[in-house]
Amino acid sequence: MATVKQLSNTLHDTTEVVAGGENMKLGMWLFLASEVMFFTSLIGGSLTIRRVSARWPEPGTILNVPLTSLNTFILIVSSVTVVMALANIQEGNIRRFHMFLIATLVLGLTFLGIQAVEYTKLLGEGLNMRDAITHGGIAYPATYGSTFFIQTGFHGMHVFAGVIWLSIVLFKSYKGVYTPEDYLGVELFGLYWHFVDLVWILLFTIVYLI
Amino acid sequence: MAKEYGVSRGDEVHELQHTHEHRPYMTIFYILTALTIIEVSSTGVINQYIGLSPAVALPRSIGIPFLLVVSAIKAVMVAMFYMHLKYDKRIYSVVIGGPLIFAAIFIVLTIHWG
Repeated sequence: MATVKQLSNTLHDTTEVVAGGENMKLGMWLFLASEVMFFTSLIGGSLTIRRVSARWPEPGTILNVPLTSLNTFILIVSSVTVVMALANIQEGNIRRFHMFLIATLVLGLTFLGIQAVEYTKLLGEGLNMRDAITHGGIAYPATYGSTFFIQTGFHGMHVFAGVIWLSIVLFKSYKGVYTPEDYLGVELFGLYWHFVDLVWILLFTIVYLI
Repeated sequence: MAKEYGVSRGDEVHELQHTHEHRPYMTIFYILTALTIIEVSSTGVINQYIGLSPAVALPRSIGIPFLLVVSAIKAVMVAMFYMHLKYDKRIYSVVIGGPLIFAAIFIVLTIHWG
């Protein structure tokens, strides 16, 4: 009888743990759904402002597309490193798991660094959230700068938050918190990071290329 | 045989098992990179850097829908393969799919009639 009771308790505990993990994943997806709405409002608002503006710069006129293309590539690579980190903790390859997490951190910081360089250069050229900008003898409305910084800035803040979250995941990974049986923390972080990459894929096209 | 795509805790109830050979992570990466290169090239923005005439680019009337479709394909690929929606529970696809479809409709309508 004791054995049956023990088995029953174990099954109950396992079910609770699984349900808890599932609930957290569902919660993460709900959060990401709300983020979709958030970024949609930013992008939609910016497109509307663009539609009613008399002039809007052609792609590559003011923004540095080659530099941002490199940043896009960096973020795509970081998505690969995150998913490889998850695959390796699932397999129990701790060393490779750590290596891919560190690579992701370096790539995330590189993305932010390049964005900081881009912002510094653009601010130096007169693109900001307040003033109209004149480029090649043509004046463009102040809303160009404000929509650019709002969209890319909020995304950059998400990357920054992701870097902090990743630092915590990395610290916990060295403490041995994650195992092939328990890697939910890595999976949840991965979902967030991939989402940030997904949003950038859309933003890059809408802000820089069209 | 490595386990993946199941729930994160309680190995006993992993529903799906795949080998590493079935993971298309690198293939998806190559496709995403190629699509990004195609996107940027189609605008003609980088022509001056590779010695092409600025005129070698898709006309805007075709280029904008093309770019939106390609970026949407890239985003869906990230969601399906890197975020594991293709392999995970259907409820997650429903939760994120609704807002994404709304977002796509909203943005397309804004571009055309905003």
